[in-house]
Amino acid sequence: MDKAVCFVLFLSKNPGNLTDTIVSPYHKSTMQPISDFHHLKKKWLKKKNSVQKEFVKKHKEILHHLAPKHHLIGTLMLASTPFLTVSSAAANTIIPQQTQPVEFQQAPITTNEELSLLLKNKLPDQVQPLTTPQETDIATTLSSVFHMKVSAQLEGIRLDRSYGIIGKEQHLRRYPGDTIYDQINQNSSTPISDGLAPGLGAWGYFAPSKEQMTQEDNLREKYYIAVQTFLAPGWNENIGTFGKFFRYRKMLVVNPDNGKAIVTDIGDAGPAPFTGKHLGGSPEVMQYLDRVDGAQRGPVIYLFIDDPHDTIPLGPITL
Amino acid sequence: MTNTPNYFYTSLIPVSTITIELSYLDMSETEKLELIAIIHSHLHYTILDLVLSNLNTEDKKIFLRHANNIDHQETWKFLNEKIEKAEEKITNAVKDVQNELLKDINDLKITKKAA
Repeated sequence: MDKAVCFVLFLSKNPGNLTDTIVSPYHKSTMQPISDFHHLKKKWLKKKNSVQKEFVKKHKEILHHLAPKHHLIGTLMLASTPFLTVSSAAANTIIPQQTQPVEFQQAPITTNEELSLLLKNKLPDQVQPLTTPQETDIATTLSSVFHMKVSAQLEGIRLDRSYGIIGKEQHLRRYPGDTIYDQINQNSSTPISDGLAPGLGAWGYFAPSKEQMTQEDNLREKYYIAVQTFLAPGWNENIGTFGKFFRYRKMLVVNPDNGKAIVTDIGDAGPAPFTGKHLGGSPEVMQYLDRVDGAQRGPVIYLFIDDPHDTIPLGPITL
Repeated sequence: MTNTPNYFYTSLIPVSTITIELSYLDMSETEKLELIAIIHSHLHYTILDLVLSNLNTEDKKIFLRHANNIDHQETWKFLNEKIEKAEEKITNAVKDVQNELLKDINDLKITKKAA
């Protein structure tokens, strides 16, 4: 079955730069004529990706049915460049060994669907805390896919889990006197009915006043998540240190059901364990990830982003 | 090209036509190989989609077991039993993709001439 699945989802990936933003026939930014190669590559990759996306969508039932999960992705996303001479033995065969590491550098993920398949294969069937090898594997994958360093543990601190059910939070007051009508206007993508939390977030107001609120403050509220800081190993003994660590700490949140990812910050603590939820997302975070609360709620992966120079912007991140 | 996988449909893929056309464009051998790799991937999905769309669930599983065998005769025997004019359908699908890609190359040549 491994061979069958591998054959089905053989991908001819390219080692070149898949993030070209060249617009035929000139570079947008430099107005230099683009090469024949880049022109065709962009066009043909788009066509190939479209066909691939349709294929996965159309035949996902048989694809999911075929292989046991722990075999699936190692074989699915392999065979990056079988027509080029590459060093990896995996690239010379459609049938990879199960023990071979998946070389994501040679098989870049280019669609949300691919990422979703990849992650689903690495995740357990039940929503439960991941094992250390699972966390490491997923973190390595996501670091490679999104070109940022993510991990379940950073500076020796971690949450109690990195895979759990996300619920919807309300908006938080950004400054004294902030109202839901200040936050939501005709251009907002989320409704007023999402509401404003009755209390403040764990770190208080994001800004001392409306006038002093910066774009960063605004985005911190917009893309915040609430995590169970109080369940972090070592929390009770190190509340001060942990509090500083968690305050607006950036986390990558990924919905494995659709492969969508967003850079968020820890803006609050919660939810309470009795809710059955493991973290909460602001209305904008939930909307982007296509996650809902209630009976239809689902899990996300959430990992710390190592961003010491604060260069990674908050908000949706695309492939 | 070395290390080209040999799938059951490989003999039906006339990549040489496109390779010749690419040789008239200004690009390195590595770049050509990269483009050909994209073409193969495109064709792979196209052909698999065509085959799977013409099989019921149980036959899909059987096909996928066959498909990676070295003995392509078994695979073709199975396909010919299950899909009417299987080879013709696959050949036509491949031709459609090839023509589309050749058009892209020709359009590029025309654009360059006009420039």
